[in-house]
Amino acid sequence: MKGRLTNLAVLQFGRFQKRFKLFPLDVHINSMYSAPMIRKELVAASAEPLILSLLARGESYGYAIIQEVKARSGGKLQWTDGMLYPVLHRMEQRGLIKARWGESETGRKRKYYSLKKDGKNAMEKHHEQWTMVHAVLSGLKKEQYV
Amino acid sequence: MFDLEQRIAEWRRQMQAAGIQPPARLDELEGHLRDDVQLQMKSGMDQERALEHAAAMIGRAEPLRAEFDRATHASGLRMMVRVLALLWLAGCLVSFTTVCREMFLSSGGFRATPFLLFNVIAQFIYLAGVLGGVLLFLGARSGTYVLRTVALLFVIACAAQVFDSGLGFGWRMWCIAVGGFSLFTIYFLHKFLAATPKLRPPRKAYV
Repeated sequence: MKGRLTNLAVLQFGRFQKRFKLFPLDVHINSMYSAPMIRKELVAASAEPLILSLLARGESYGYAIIQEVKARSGGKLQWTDGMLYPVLHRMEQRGLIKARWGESETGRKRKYYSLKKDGKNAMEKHHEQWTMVHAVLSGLKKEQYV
Repeated sequence: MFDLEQRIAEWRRQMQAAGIQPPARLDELEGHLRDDVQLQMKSGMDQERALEHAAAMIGRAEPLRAEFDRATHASGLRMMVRVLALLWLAGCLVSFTTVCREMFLSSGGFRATPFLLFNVIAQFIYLAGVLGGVLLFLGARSGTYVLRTVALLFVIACAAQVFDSGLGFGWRMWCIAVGGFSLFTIYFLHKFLAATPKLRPPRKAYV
């Protein structure tokens, strides 16, 4: 009964999100029922810091970014792939990252993204904030087991 | 017979028909699609299923277009804010120099007139306007707060002059225009701040 109610709530939330588009990054609604996916709000909030952190390691492109995030999260962090590009576009407009057209291994055109100075600063801010949240949560969890 | 190139071209046309522009954006999405098709085929999928999977992962065209529109709208908003900042910067700078010239250069040099206090106050407001314009143009959020305060003071000053029947018709019309522009600035910057929320920096004391 509890499981059915949860599924129903998730389904309704998915419909609501589809209609009103609350979060910039979409996750695969259907797969949310089967695998223990990370919450939609968290996925959306983590998009920018993750992209910035990945680009801090070097130039990359959309598909590689998505694959890297999937691999590192064990498939739990999933975006609707196409939705990454508006986020990248927005970050480019804000001067956090820059883009250039290059060539893929097969000779096709490919857009590569890299970090700008403002992006580095934004990434450091994100890291501070996420570390703070993590520290608070860890502290509270430790207290529960004392 | 399944033709991968033809199906990809068809998918691209559908994306374009949904309003995803310009071609460079479609090129990037197509590149993503092809990368995914390639990866799925390497893992043993046939071409048709690989393409279906890749297209599904990219998602439907309409929400994607809406998301791109939102991103473009945000950048358009930033451009408008810069134009607004430049207008305020220019306007306040011209007003500041004009009042300076009137105070010190005209009518035989500096004199303590009954309007001196108003002029000095006005000069401080103009300087704040210049500062706000520069800050906003450089993208500092503090610029929005400074300019909104200056705009509010402009609205009050203009309203006072509009109702002063001793002033000429032309000047009162000018005050209405400036007051209206100031009101627009307050409204627009309020909308801009709401559309671009900023995460506050962490308070280190809690870490």
